[in-house]
Amino acid sequence: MKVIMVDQEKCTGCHLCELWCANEIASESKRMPDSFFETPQPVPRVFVEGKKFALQCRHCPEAPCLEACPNGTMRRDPETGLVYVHEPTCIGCWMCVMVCPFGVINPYSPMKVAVKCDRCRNMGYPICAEVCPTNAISVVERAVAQAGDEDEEK
Amino acid sequence: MDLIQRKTIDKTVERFIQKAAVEGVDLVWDRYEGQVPECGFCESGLSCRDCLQGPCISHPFKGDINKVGICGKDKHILAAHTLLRMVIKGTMACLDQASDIAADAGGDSEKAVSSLFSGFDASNIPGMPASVLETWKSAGVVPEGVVRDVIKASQKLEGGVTTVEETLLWTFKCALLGYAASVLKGEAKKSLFGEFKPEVVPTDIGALDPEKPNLLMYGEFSAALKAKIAAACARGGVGVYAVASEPVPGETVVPLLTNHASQEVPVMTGAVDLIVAGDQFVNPSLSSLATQWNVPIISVQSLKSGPDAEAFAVSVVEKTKDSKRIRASFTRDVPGSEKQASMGYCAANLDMKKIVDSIEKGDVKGIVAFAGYDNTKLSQDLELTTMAGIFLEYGILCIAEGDASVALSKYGYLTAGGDISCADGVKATLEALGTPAVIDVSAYGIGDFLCGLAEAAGKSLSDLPVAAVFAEASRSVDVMKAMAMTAMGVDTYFWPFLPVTGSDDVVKALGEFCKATFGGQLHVITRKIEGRVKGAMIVKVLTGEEGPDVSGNPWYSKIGAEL
Repeated sequence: MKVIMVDQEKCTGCHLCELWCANEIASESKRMPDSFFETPQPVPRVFVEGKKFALQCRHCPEAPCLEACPNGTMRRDPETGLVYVHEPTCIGCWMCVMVCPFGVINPYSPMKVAVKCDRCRNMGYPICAEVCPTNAISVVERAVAQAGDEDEEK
Repeated sequence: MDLIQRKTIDKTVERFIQKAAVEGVDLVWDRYEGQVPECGFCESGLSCRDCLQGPCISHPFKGDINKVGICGKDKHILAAHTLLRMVIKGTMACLDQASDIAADAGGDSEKAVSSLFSGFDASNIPGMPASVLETWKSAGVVPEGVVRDVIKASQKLEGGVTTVEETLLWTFKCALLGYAASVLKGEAKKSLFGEFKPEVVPTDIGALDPEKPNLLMYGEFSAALKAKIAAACARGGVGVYAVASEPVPGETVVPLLTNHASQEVPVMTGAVDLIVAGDQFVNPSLSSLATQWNVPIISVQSLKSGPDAEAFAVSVVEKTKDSKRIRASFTRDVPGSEKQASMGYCAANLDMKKIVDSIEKGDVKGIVAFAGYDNTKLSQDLELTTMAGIFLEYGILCIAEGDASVALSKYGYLTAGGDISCADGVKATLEALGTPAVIDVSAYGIGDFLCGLAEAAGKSLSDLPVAAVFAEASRSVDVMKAMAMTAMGVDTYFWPFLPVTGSDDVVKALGEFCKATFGGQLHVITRKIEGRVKGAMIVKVLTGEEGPDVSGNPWYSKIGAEL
């Protein structure tokens, strides 16, 4: 399965991934600056906070959000392994938000749905990786991403 | 994230783009694609790097997080400051041009330009209607000189608690000083070369003579030096041309090869033997491109002052001849695309009363002034030519300056007796004036023409059906000029949209606040619309009539289809 890998050394914390994620994925107009003034405000699915590091859903092999969801709204795509929110059935109980170990699921109060990165599963390539000016964000096989993590730990 | 489908509608340039792709040469369009997606924060005016605590942004999406910069600039101030920063740079460009020519002109011209630096008296701006000066006075934006305008305005970027509207007024004040500098530059040219007279200037890359040693002057630098180089070339049998430049005054007619975005293309013909370049509006890429074609390139703006202008002119002519000998192995591939443009009109040599009569009789329903350099974000020349075609067909008289004139000339809009379709009233007016379809006013700029029109009509510009259109603008000097036109009471349209769109307050202020203060507004249109829709929109504003039918295939446009 392919996941998003973020290279901490390359991330400059420019927030462009957030900007484009909110514009392309969350907004109605899909066009800046019109998307800036939409109500409710579009919410990005990737977060650059604190240290310079873009964080989004890891699509965990054992995903606590899937376990916690009371009505099967949080689902895994059987073909790609990607975890996504089936918005029409979300009841806004925020259980997934509470159990996510990475804090990357957001309660989107205006629409009463949880929002998270689905790795742009309906697009050819994730927008955050597409726009990252330093190529800090890339799409790789999970094994490659894990190997990278282990190298860093050493 | 917009990639343009068609880089240019100029067939000659298109041919060389294909050649560049085959030969692995990077042109401006390739570099643009490398930059896409451009930074959304910067593009919307929501970023700042005025101090070393940043760079800062105002995040448009993350709820209440990241809304203000470290020092506390919110999105409105960030956007207003982005505009101010551009206008300061544009004003500096005009001051530099005025200083260069004033130093050569000497006498009263030099004194007048010197006054731009401190203690400037705006009532000395030639041709400026008293009503406009009065409006500026009430708004507190009368230009008073670099010290009071540019230096003070630039300190707004350092901090303070100035409101958005007052920051915008400082921006206008600064822009008006730049405009005053461009008017005084025109006066200095007049004192040095005499009144401008209309003349036929060859344009387009086909004007290059492949048999001659050829010297190209790039960008803006002293008009006096350009005239000396041109005269020396004519004496020495060397072809001389200008690129990304205003028409060159003086006795030698200097062909204008192409407009700003395609400035690299002439080098690719192999028929260029020497380049003399200024700084303004010259792409730094020219240097590496010239190396590939073994073309020596000489900068006229070096730290150490060189020999006097006359000796410099003679030396570059000799170097051009030597270079042709050295470059004998390069193929000289010049396309046959030369056009003849009638240029050099101004309020003084046009029958302004005739134009006013035509407006009053309804023969001319409005006037559009085109200005601005071109921009790789838009298909080169497409918006400009599409709009010009629509305006002329719907009874709107068109004038143009600088790069916009050069762009239009490539499609025959500046060719006397050309076959451009015009409404009957416009056609009759143009025949009476003895001008081509689009009137080039590069000599003194669109401001000179519009002020002359206001004087002849005995009305303020905001009461006349006029608009300024920056169809494909790119340089900070374009932003400065657009601000100045707005402050003169002219409705101004600017594409691509200004980097202020992250702030709804600034966009609104450039519209409603400017309309209330100056009588003209600066339209910041963020909708993605094609040239014919823009043209139809302006036709409706100026004439009150429905413009062309803009339904149908969205990709269709008249010029594009013809080509």
